[in-house]
Order: sequence, then C-alpha cells, then structure tokens
Amino acid sequence: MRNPLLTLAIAAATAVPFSVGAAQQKVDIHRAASPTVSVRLNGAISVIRVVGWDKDSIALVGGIGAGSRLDGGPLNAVGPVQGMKFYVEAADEAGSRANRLELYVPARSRVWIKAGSADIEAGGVTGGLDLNIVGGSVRVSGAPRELLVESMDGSVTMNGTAEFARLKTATGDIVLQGGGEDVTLTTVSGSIRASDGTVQRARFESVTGPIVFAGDLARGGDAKFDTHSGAIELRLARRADLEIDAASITGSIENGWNSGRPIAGREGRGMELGTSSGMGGARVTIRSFKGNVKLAPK
Amino acid sequence: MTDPGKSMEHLNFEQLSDLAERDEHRNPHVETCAECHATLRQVRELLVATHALPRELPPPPEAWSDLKARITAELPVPVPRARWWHNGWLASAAAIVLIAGTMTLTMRFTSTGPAKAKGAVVTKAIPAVLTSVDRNYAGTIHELRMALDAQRATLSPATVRTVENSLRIIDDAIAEARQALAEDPANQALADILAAHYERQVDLLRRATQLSSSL
Repeated sequence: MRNPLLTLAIAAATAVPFSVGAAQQKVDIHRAASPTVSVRLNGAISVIRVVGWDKDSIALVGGIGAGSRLDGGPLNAVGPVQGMKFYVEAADEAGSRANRLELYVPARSRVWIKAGSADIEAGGVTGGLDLNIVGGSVRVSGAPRELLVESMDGSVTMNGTAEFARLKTATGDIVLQGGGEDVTLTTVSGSIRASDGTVQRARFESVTGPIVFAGDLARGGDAKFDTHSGAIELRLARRADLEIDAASITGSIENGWNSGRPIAGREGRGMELGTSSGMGGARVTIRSFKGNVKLAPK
Repeated sequence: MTDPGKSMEHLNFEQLSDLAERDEHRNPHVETCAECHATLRQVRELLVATHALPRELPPPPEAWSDLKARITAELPVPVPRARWWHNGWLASAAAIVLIAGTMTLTMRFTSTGPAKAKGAVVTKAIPAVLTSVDRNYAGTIHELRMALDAQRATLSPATVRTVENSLRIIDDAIAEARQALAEDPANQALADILAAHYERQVDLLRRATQLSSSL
C-alpha cells in the first residue's frame, strides 16, 4: 500500500504529560523529520499546543478521551518524515473535550490544524501555520513566515511578527500585537485591535466591528481600513510620515492627529479628509459607510 | 468672438477621459452639450465600475513565499518591497475592464458618429456600476449558498447560528450600500464599500462550506 497511514494503538497510561486523566488514552508519538516537514492535524480536539523546536523530529503527546480514536502517521515509510497527518475522532462532543494534544515540530515546519471548538496555542514556528477553528481561541506568538487563521466565533491573537498573515473571523475578536510585511485582519462583527508593531502592507476590514490601530507604518507602507458601520480609530505618532485619505459616506470624521480639517462629503452627506504629515511616506486609506472615523495622537 | 462651429465640436474620448479621471464637474462645453455630458457620465461610471472590481485575486500563500524567495535568489539587487502582486492583479483586472469599456466607447464614436450618438439614451433604471458590481459576485454567492444549504446538516446548530447571523449582517450592509450607490452611482467610495461587502460574503460562505465538508 502506498503511503500507508498507521492506525495507532494508544494505550492507557497513568504518568503522562499534558494533563492526561485516568480515563484517557495516552498519545506519545515521536519521529525523525525533515526540517521543513508538513504536519496536518484534524478533528475533534479541544486543546492543542504547537511548539516549534530546534530539533529535526516531531513529537505528538498528550491524551485523548476513552471513546476517542487517533488515526494517522507519516506519509513516507522510510527516512525522516516529510509529511505527517493525524485525525482525531470522538464519540461525542463531551468526548472531544477530553482530547488535548501537544505537537512539537521543527521550527521551519508547516503546520495545518483544523478543529471544531478548540483552543490552539502556537509558538516558535518560523515556517507556516494554517489554523482553522469554529469556536474557542487561537493564540500565536513568534515570527511565522506565513500565518493563516480562520475562525467563526473564536478569538484570534497574534503576538509577534508575521511576514504574511491573514487573520479572519466572523464574530470573534482579533488582536495583533506586533506587525508584519503583509497582513490582513478581517471580521464581520468582531473587533480588530492592532498595536505595538510596524506593518508594511496592511488591511483591516470589518462590517460592524470596531477597528483600532495603534501601530506604525513602515516607510512606503500602505494601510487600508474598511468598514460598514464599525468605528475606526487610528492612534498615530505625531511625527508619522503619512498621507491619509479618509471618507465616511454618512458617518463623521474627527481629526485630532494634525491640523487637517475634514470637509462635508458628496452632496453634503458624511465627511471626507485628505491630509498628510512629513513627506507622506506611507499611505493610509479609510473607507466607511456609516462608521465614525477618529484620528488621534498616540 | 465665439466661433459657433467650434462650439459644436464634441470632445474626443481622451478629453472626456481626462475630465472623468480628474473628477471635474465643470467644463464649458460639457455643460451645454447633452451628448458629451452623457458620454462623460458613462466614462465616469466605467471608471467607478473598474474601481469596484475585486481588489484582490490572491494567489495561494505558498505562491507568494515561493515566488518571493525565487525573486530574491535570482536578482542581484534587492527587490523593492512594493505592493507588486496586489497592484499587479488589480491592474490586470482593471485593464481588462478599461480595454472593454474603451473599445465600446470608441466603437460608438467611430461607427455611429455624432449624429447617431445624439440619440443615445443613458439608462437610469439600474446604474451600470451597480449592475457591474452585482454581476461580479452574484454567481459565486449563489453557488456557495447552495453548497452551504446542502451541507447545513453537517454543521452544529451553534455554528449555523453564527454563520446565519454573520450573513444577515453582511446582507443588511449590502442592502444599505446598494441603495446608496443606486442614488449616487458615480461615488467611487460607495462602489468600493459595496464590493468589499460582497467579498466578505463570498469569503464567509466559502469558509462555512469548507467547515462543513471537513468537520
């Protein structure tokens, strides 16, 4: 059989890491892996911790509930693992709550996780992270090259810098503490907060959720803020080198950042503001239908 | 003294495009010439429609990294970190619409001439920009909604509620933006906002259908 997936027999254990209870089955899998191994983890898992480490090996440890099953394994039978995938199946929702795993991977790996309602925490991965949940939360720290997070009502927090990041929710809140080269934060009704970092190219988009940006823009950077009815607040450095183009179709614009004065919009509705500071090195575009826009100094 | 013959000369397409791009509302000839006024309006709507095209046709993230790595490796000098792919994709899409629009208008000028153009009627029932934005997304949204409906049973009730509520919020926003754009079809910011709402709806539907197929 090509690329056989191993069905892993998981024995019950007593002394195990990561809070494995008496009624749980121990998970303790270790394999040599290539530094850029791809790992996929999918299914009914309630808590997942991903750790990028400085070793050419993978470890999946933790425990799953008595009625749950873990399938999967390496995609190549010999040599260091190039790819590995696991699937966790639970008898019911209560069973999935007992499924808690820790995944240790080489730092440059690509990790793909898809779970229902789960709390995912990832750190130390400098390769790629693609994390997908419905509810729960995702917390990422460090400097992944690519970071893709999709959630419905789960919250998403990124603490660090990602070269390329796409963080999306429906109702969950998004927090970016850090920056990135190319980042997009999108929500329907959750809130977006970005601070403590520099972005090169960024988009912040909501339908009704508020957006607060208190970060910095790189020289020559480009940031776009887009909402229907969420409030947009930009807290900017007084000496920021920016060119700002803001328009709210029916909402208001308040500028406390510099002396630029908003004017009435088309046909007297809403407001518009075009202003700049310094050499106008970075460009900010704000579009709102009826959300109010506020520019304030940091 | 005014030359009556000169005043009857219509503006050519380049002049009208220039006026449209500069968003100039006052031009002595356009103010008195119904034909040029109507054509200028069409050109403006075309520009707005172009602006309303999907702003991103993102390649997979791997493509971004791989391509960037290759460029960095192959070029002897550092590559400026400009918004190359974003603008490139947008520019391609915009170019297609502009070429199509330019051809249409040019054909109108060259084949019918001013005499026939005089009889041209600018439809006001559904602004072209609105039809254009709607058309960009209608098919995809319909297909994704069908797919979601078919897979609804595989989603948990809580997830269905979250998705439905979010879709309702986006639907309401689209309705408001459409209404506003219908009343002010030359408003580029409105066209941008409407297109962005559609993009968000497509994205949410896509994500919801992917959830139901895997969990």
